Amino acid sequence: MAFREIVERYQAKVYSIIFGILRNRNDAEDIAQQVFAKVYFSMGNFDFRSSLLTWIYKITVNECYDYLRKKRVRKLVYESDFSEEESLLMQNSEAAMDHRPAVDTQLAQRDFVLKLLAKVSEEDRNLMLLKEVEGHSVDELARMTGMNENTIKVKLFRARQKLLKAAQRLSRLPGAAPA
Amino acid sequence: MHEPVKEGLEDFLRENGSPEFAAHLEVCRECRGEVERMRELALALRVLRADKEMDPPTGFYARVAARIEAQSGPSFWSVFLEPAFGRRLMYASATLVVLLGTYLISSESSEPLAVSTTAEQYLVEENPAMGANPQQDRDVVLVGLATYNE
Repeated sequence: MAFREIVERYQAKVYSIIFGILRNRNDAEDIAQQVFAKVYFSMGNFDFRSSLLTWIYKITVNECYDYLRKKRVRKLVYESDFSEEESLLMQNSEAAMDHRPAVDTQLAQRDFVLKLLAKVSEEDRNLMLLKEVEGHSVDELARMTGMNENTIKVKLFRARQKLLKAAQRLSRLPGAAPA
Repeated sequence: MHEPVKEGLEDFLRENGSPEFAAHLEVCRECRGEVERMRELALALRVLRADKEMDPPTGFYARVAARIEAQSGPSFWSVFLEPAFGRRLMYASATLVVLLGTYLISSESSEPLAVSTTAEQYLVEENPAMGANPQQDRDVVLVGLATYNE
């Protein structure tokens, strides 16, 4: 399959996945381009054990998390430029904002879910997203990943348990939105 | 969580599960609580679902191709297209030509000497009396040439 065909076949899927996670069109376009550049350069690493879509999906979600991580680091670097008093002032104002009712509860919930998914392994995260966000069934996941159905069920169960534990830990932190 | 719930959880979250699963939840408070939390979690994850599949703006493939081009390392031959490198290459080539020319000229002028030296040595070896009298030497050489057989 020519590379152009791959891009044209999966571009809407990739763009939608990214937009679903980040809710920003410019970021979605930029990350989608990077996803396909990665696909192009690492085509040799694709082992055909999973479907091409599953492999592209994995790259897409990883790129999103990479972007979120870099964004967080940039924010930390930006904050480190402030003086101690300014940082204290900012923390106080953020704490005050955390206690007011959420302007957009869906935004807060998305933020919480993203933080939650960052606490589990890449494999658990991808499986949970394929199951709950993309809506694939267990047998579809088995076919897509090349694993058997029981393995998928066990992995999903463990991933759900880890996410619940992470949710409990995150909910105890100030400013965390409940799942 | 108990074994029947572990096994039937995915079916339950998808389409409410088997009667056995439901029967177990009726009697097991611990499993009921955990299954409920897992169901809430599954619903919470759906906030990441895009409302509908969207296409990127037109010309997406061209932009991907441009990015790939930008991220590809320069090819081996592109080095020769750099002006600075080309100039250095030109100077190096000119220096090499000058050196080779000098070597060839100097080696050409010294070669006949070496030949004559070898011929002289040969004649001296053949005629030990050579070198004493120039007239006699000339006669020896002429006789040698006249009697030469291939």
